Amino acid sequence: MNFTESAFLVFFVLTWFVSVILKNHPSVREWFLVGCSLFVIASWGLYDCSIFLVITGLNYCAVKFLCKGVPNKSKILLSAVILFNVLCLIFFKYRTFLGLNEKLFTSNPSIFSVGIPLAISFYTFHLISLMIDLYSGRINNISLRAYCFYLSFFPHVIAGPIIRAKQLLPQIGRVFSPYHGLAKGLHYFITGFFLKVVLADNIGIGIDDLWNSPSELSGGDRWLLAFLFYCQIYGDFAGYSLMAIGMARLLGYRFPANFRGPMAALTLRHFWQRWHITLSQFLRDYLYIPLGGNRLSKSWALCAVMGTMLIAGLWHGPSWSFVVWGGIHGLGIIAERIIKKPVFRYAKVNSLVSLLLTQLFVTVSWVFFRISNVDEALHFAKRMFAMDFSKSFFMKPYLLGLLIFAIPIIIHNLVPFAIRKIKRSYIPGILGTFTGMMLLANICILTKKTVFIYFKF
Amino acid sequence: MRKYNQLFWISFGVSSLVVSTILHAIWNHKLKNFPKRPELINFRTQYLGDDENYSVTHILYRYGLFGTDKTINSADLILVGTSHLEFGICAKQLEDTLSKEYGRELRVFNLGMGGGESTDFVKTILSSKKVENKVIIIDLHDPLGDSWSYLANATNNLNSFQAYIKIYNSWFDYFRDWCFDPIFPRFRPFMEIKNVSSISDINKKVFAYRRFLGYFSVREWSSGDIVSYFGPTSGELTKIKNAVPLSAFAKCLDGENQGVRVNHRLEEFLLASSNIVVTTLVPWDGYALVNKPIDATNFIFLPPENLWTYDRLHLVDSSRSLNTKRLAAELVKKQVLKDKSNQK
Repeated sequence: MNFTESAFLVFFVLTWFVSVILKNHPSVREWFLVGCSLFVIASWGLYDCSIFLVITGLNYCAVKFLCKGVPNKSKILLSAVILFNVLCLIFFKYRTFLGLNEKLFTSNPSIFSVGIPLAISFYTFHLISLMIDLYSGRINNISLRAYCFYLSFFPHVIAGPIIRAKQLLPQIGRVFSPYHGLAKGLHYFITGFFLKVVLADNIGIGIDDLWNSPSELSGGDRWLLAFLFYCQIYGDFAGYSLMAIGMARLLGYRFPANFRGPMAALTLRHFWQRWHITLSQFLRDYLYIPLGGNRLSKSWALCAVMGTMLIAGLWHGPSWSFVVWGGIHGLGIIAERIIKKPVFRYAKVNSLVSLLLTQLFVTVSWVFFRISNVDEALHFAKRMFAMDFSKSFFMKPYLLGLLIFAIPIIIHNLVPFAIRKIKRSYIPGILGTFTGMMLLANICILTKKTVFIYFKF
Repeated sequence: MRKYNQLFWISFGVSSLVVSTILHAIWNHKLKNFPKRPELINFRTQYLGDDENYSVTHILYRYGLFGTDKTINSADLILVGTSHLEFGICAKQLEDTLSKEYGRELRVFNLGMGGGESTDFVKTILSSKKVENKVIIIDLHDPLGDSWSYLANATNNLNSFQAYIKIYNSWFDYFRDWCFDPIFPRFRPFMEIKNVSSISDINKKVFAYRRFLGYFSVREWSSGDIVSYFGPTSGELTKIKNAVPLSAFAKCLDGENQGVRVNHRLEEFLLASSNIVVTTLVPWDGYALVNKPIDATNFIFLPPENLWTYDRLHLVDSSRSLNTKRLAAELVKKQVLKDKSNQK
């Protein structure tokens, strides 16, 4: 079930009503939500649900042992469990990419030609986070209900946000107060739906085919196409994240924000603090810092940045283009660390130039994210810079038409900054007004239903 | 927090109301140009068969959901074919005529499917059911041959659980569209955006609108017959007054004038389970130009005279009735069902 489908919306409303009925029975309510979550996972395929149950089931044995907290043995167990989860991820997601099919199944490589299990990248990270938090003592104990709930809770299980165990577990077992999160939950959900269905999907329908035949595009078209993809993926993923945050809030749980105006980022470092925030924080805390972070030499820190960014790229999918995408960002961040000095005398000019350079850099990098073949992506990127003035700057006027859907996305990126300048007492009124307008737009604007881009990661 | 919520809900309600009123005022003026909204489907006896996104019929027949399996298994006579047969023969009428003729209750089921569905997909459906000792009438119009339609491929990739979800999606979408149809217009930017040829065009194309209800067909649970086929701008398509007489010799579409063939694999499968196979060809524009296979089993010719079509491919209700009457007469003449009784 896709979050934007009618059947899911009806399912969610029913789930919410039952949750309200069970509000004074947290234990029953949370088991009920676990059941609902398994239903959602199974709706994507029984294979996906089975893999999820097997992996989480095996991890639960380790959880019980870690809870007992025998210091020496725990460290070995923690390493073994992390290794097991990473190997599962490698086997299911990167098997073909690493040529393991041919090595493991020499007689018939296609014998294990099953697809990538849904959400495996996300729940593997959830499991790793849980194990480390248990080992380090940030969490003392975890019941079976809390464990199942944390891993399977349907708003986040498929495509995040990546919630840390320490963020969600303290909220489990509380009495549910339905009215408390209703306004904000509804606002987040409707905004997310608007970003995804009305904006991102309409942009996607306009540009998706163009990526298959870019030879007809002028340099201007290519820039516009890359920028529109930037808007599409933002609308798609930020929309999904907001819907997840909204659903969780409506059911009485708080999720951390996953996006905070990345299109207004002045540097790449800022960009990664605002784009897929929960992934960035996960990689920072569980990869970059354990690798040494800023504590060791400067050159080692730069290597750690590069390693982290390459893994961030590879995490998105078994393709070299994702590795290149991560690598480009890694190089950009390293360059930023080396060139620290402002170029211009005036701070505002510096900020403006920095904003433009960062956003142009990010826009070009999306080409490698979108085109799975590195050579083709490189060719596309080269043609962005090779302007042919004999041709019209824009060969495809309808791309300009799509800016109608891109402009609200740009505005949405500015909201976190604009909201600081608005008097606090005006905020609920403004949010309510926009939520009402977006609700009507969600109803009245027809789009073809498409699956969220991040569901395949 | 309470004040926050109050302010939020008041502004939410006011803005929703204001925008709704504006949209409704615009729509109310335009709605007069569209045909009347049909009655809500009575889901106890009927179901939404196909809409613009899904073919519920394909899913229902493939997985035998909501008792469809039982209905098909209990039928004495099954009609197999594409949308030509779906719209061209009435199972209920055939059932009544034949039951009267033979003096016993006979059950007829219409297994016709849209999308020009291949009889090869029908074979997949029938192999999962108890199809024994029945009369199967196959419409030879089979434009896809051994390859399945995209609807069939999409259907076959599901499991029964996902099949239920797809069906409910389609039905909930219909219910939403039926409710909002008289209230709001529906903007459809994606349908028009690629037709923007100049910047001045953008405004017209992006805000192009239509009504909520799109094309959809309604079928009967008990017989599988099409009860209605609704078009957003033309209303009930099979009942429209501007239907045209069928022209057997006027070429319609290139593809439609080919694709008549006998699926021997289906026939062999059916004959192996003691079924009686009868073939026919429901008329459409230009069907006299096609080469009918000489090896068709028990072929029944259905004349095109006095038949009317709404889109040159499918018959209107009155012609369906006439066509069914002719088929029933031929079946009685050929004594096909008598053979079946003897087999029993």
